[in-house]
Amino acid sequence: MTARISVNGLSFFRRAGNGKDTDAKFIFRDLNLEIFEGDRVGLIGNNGVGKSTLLRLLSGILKPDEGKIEVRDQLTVLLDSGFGLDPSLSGRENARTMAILARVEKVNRSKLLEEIRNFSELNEAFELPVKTYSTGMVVRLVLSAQLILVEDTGLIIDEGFGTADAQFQKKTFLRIEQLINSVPFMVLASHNEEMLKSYCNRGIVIRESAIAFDGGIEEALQIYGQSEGIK
Amino acid sequence: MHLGWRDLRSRYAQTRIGPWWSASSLLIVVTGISLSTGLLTGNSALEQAPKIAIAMGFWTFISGVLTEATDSFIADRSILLNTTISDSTMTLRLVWRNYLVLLHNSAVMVLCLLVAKSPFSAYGKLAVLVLVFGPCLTAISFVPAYFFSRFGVQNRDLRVFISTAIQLNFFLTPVFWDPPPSGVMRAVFLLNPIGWIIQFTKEFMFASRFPAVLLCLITLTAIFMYLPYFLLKSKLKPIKKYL
Repeated sequence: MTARISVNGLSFFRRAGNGKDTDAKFIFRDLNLEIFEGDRVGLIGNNGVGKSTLLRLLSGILKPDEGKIEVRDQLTVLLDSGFGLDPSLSGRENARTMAILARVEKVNRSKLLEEIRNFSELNEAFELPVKTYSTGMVVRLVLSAQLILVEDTGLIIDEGFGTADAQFQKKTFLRIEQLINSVPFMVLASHNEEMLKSYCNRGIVIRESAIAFDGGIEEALQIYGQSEGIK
Repeated sequence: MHLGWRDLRSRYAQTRIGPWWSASSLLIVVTGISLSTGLLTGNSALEQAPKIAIAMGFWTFISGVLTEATDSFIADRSILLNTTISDSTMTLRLVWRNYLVLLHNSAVMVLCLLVAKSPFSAYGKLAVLVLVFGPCLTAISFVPAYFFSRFGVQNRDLRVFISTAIQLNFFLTPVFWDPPPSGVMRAVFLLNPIGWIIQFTKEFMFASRFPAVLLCLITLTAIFMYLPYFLLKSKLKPIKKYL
């Protein structure tokens, strides 16, 4: 079985302090990983361990300093909710920008914008500037746009994604569940144990620039919990 | 392209005249400078206006591109770090946005030609300048804008320096003066590529001879700027790493 994503000898570092090479801090060192069709991977690790960076590397947003990442599928990436949002423009205009950034073809855009409007339940507010929205309304707009724009591709989701008010959260999770069942594979970075257990079938624990565990999600959570002294 | 348009709509959102605000402010500046230079030199302000409008319009484009570039990647950080959109695309957005401003500002240039009762051929020349030379200048300015954007991220102190340097350069660029045939200001002009561009626009519009030498200088500068871009681009570390 061919891996949908292959990571070979990945090293990635960031510069700290004054930005000289001597201040380089390794985020990952010689990391190897394969993701197959049907995998629902949960990335587990402390804050700052590099989960979001790994998602950005897998998505092709960041390039590795050493090693190679091969992605054999199209990807949909749900990272930071609300990126590129312009408060002085309407919800519709912002949703249109998100559609363009997601490379949705022009012929499909109008239909998708209506879907976003309906899913978000913003109604007339969809035509108003985003700066008139409450925080909850902004989350609704962004989540709806991102979830409607997801295609039948590999899915990469970061933990910051998906926080909304209880009522809308339920609707969002239902949609995410549908998506997870239809996409060929998924990688989710999260601290939310419940979310990881219900959505993932494989867990990867990241610690000290490397993979500390790769196996079943229950076992991964247990190992992470033990090592962090949570349980 | 969409992001460039969106930037303009956003900048002038909830104003009645939208992007025409930039043209209005240019009109006020041109009126002020034309009247001042008219009073100082004893020439007619109306005759000066088209020259100043064209020089100021193109100066606004160049200074806008370079100044905005120093902050561009930092301002676009969230898009760069959450999508696979490249840093070059963000620079294209910036130069395109400024070209759109130039297009709006060309209305002031037309107005000044009308007021000065310029011959019909002047409108044709202006069309060539804005619709042919303008896109070429947009393409030329892409390279310094790209490198300035990188500098702005890696050396954040430079942002203030570059912005001050551009402001100073206004006085060394023949926007409302013409380069003398010799002397210090001639030397200053010869060392200032931005000055060549501004002088080219003025001579193209108002001199009896086509400014071929200036065009050659600008073309050579463009070639010399694109060379390091193509040579260095693949060797430079991706800027997203530094954001």
